[in-house]
Amino acid sequence: MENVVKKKGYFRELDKSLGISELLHAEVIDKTAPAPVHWWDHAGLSCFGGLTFLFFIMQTVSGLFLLVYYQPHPDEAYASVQYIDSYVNLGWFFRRSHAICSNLMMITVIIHMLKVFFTGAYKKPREMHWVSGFVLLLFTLGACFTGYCLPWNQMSFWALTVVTNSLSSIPFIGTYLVEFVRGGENVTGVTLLRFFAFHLIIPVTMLIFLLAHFYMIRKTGISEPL
Amino acid sequence: MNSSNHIGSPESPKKGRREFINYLLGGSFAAWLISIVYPIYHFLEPPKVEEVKVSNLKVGKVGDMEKESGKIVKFGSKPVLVVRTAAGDYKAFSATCTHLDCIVQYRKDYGQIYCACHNGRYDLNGRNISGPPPAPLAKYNIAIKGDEVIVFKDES
Repeated sequence: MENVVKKKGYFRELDKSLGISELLHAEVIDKTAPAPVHWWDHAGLSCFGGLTFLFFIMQTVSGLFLLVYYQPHPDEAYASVQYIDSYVNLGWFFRRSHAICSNLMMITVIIHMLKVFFTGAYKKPREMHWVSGFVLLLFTLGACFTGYCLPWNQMSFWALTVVTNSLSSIPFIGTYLVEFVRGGENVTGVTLLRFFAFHLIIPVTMLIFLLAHFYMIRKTGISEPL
Repeated sequence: MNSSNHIGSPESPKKGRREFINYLLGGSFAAWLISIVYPIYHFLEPPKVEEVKVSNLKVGKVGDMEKESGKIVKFGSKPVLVVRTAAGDYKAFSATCTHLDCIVQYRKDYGQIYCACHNGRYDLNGRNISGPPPAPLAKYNIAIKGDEVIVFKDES
């Protein structure tokens, strides 16, 4: 309790009830980071997991606000995206940052994975960290691709056609799978609505894996320098 | 921790500096928060739509509407109720109920203008005669040019 920030009035009362500063001290402020040892520590390569999470948060925020203007309907989708770009206040900023940060997130994910792979940080007892991280990679790719389809322009439409069609090369279940993700035989408005739903479902599911991923790291601590 | 000679303690001679840093950090945090909240607020503000100024509107030929009937037309962004009375005269009113903005209609069985939301009624001069409406309907003017019925609003 020594560490509890001495604030007055409402802040102190809130803090007493919620225990925020206690938690902050235990988990953030008084927590020492391991001293950098290797060149990759000095180069900041250990920050890329955190950066990826930062992008995840930014995508969630900008995405939630884009929902206000985007219309997931084949007749309206493209027009609503153009409307966001040219009429909505700062709409271009929200849309472009959502698109650019998705690319940056892919880059940070890959650097994070390369660093973990080449420093052997995935080894025992951190096998499940890697597995949950790999699932998160798949979710990130899924979120990026479903988002790419939403502007419903030529690029989106043909990307959707080609990528869903490529599922048909999976033996036995391929053709069924194509129809399943398309919501029918062809790419139609139903497909757009499905991909819009996937684009919302994926991040929510991702959050569960993220929390597991973070909890594991908190439990085992980060990998000791080799 | 011994608080009496600890740097952060209130008795410390460094209190002034520490307080200054706290204000600086608090101020930066507030500025950061504003830099996030303001763009979001601005984004959510409805974008300005260029409104087409309508000063008059053709609603059809004189014989198009039956006697004792009404129809709603869009006058710019506002709904207007055009009524043809039993005598064959045309009348036009704002179709927005003065109670809570529902759209009113002409009811042949009452011979009155009626708002379905809360049973409000207006007579054929637009006066509120029954139910909750607190004020009469705004009047629009009718002109008949040749056999064309035109609704227009005084610019005043």
